[in-house]
Amino acid sequence: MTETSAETMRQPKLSYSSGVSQGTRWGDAGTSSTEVAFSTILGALTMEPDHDKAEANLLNLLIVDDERSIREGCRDIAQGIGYSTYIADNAEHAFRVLDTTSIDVVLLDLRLPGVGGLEVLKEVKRRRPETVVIVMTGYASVQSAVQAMKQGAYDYVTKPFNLEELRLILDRVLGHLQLSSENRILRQQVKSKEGFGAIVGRSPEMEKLYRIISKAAHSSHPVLILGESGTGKELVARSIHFSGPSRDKPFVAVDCGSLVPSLIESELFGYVKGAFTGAAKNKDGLLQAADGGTIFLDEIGELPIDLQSKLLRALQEKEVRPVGGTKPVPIDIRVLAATNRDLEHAVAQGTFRKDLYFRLNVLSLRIPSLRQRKQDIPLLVGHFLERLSLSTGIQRNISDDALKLMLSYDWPGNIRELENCIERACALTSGPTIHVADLPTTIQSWREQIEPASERLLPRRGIMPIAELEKQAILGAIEMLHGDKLEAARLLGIGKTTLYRKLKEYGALQ
Amino acid sequence: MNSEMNMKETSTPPVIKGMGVFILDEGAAQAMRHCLHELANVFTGLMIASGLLLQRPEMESLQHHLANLCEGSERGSALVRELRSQLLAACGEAEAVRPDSGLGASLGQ
Repeated sequence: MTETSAETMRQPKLSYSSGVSQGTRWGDAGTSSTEVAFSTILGALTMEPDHDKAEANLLNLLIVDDERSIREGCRDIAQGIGYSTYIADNAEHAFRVLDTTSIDVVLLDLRLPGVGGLEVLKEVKRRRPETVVIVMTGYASVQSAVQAMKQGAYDYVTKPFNLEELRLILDRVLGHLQLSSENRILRQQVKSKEGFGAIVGRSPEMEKLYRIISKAAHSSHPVLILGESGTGKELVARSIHFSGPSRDKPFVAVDCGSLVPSLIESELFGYVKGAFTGAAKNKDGLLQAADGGTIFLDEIGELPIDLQSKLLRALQEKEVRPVGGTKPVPIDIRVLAATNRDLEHAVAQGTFRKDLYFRLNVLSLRIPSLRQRKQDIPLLVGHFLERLSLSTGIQRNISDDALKLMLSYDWPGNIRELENCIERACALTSGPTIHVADLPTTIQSWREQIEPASERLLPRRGIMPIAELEKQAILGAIEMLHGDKLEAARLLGIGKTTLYRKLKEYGALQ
Repeated sequence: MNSEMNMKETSTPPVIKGMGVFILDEGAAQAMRHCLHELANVFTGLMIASGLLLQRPEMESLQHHLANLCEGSERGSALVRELRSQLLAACGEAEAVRPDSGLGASLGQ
């Protein structure tokens, strides 16, 4: 059954118009006409004229099997899914393909003539560790499966298998590789200013958010950004704008919650000269200022109901009517809105217009709270410390205990609270390391809730500098005595002058 | 050297039960493994080819023949799996079966 043709073949992107594969470069001497006819007919019959799909995925798959019917069957299935395929009937051929082509996936028979499949697997992994190898075998022992998996096989399939089984596996590999590639790109974007800018986080929740941002960026639909206060809704809005095709156009952020109610209308829609006292000349509104780009309406839930209808009209008709004006001004803007309120509840209560809610909620994304992605806290702390070191010129780090406490804390104020906490701790700390005592009292008192004082005051493991022990003892005593410094000095057995000097050193003297 | 043919040396002759009792010496067990492997190859090729052809509208007039071919190769495959399972059991080897799918014969990450 061994194929006599020595040539490994790559199937080009075929033209299927005639139902027969065009331009296929078949093997050289030794390929029988029957084999060509069978493969050609089968190939033509099984492949859909789906160039876009093939071009889009374009993963290189190498099929290594000494059984011709399996090579060809697998090839046709893989091409139908969108892989670019190469075939080899033995290890030597496989190595030749690997020498010249960057192979993403290998479908590998374990039992090959000459050099065995496990050796090929080893070699593939040595050359390109990220290559996904699916091992095929006719011998279904656990031992052979374990051996293959140990050597880095991604999956293991036992013959005989049918079309659907193989399709399922190849689809899964495709998904796996696309996800890995997307995540790689997203991680690169996270690091770059052009991408997701100041958003920091590598937790699965954030990876998911990046994917949604990436999709939203390339759409022109309104996006409703949901999330608790301090989660970074404006950062997400900026990321959507600056990752999309309108990145060179204006991005105008409006905090609907902080605008003076009587001025919201003229701020948003502009006014004409003489519209009201003090309107000495025409003034464009923020919606006009964002023309061609994006307007970000933060705290949209705070917008008065009468202005909600005016905003809805402006969005629907793509024009604004300035206060006091009669002529509408055309606008071309993308709207991003954010709220930490439950808009559905507001709609039910009649404080938010249902039609505006539906207009804004075409796409929606929810930013995870910090307590939902605590694994990002060390990364965020590092990010804020680095940013502060750039502005102050002082490099600081954080003690394990302080970080541990920060990891246990719930952060109701989310990233904003974490940022403030780091800034405050940097301002208070006397040395290069931020300790528990430098953290805000809210966080320190959190510690009291999660562990008793007796445990807190004793170093649990490792060596703690005496100065740090002293600092913790002094600050802890003052805290326990509700700020009574004289009593703290008495109980600690030190003079009040010493206590004040220490507090001054710690930056804790208020 | 083949990677999987000599993975486990058996000290006692394997016994296949079911349709009677067969006692195989080591050589016969190896030969049977080889035959089953070849059969698995043949049936894989048949199942894939018939499955692919069955999906083509052009083959409508031959649908019942293709369906027979598919069914036959599926039944043949099931027999190969059954025999292999018995041989593995007789040789004292565990069979690789993925619990999370209906595939019955592959392990995934």
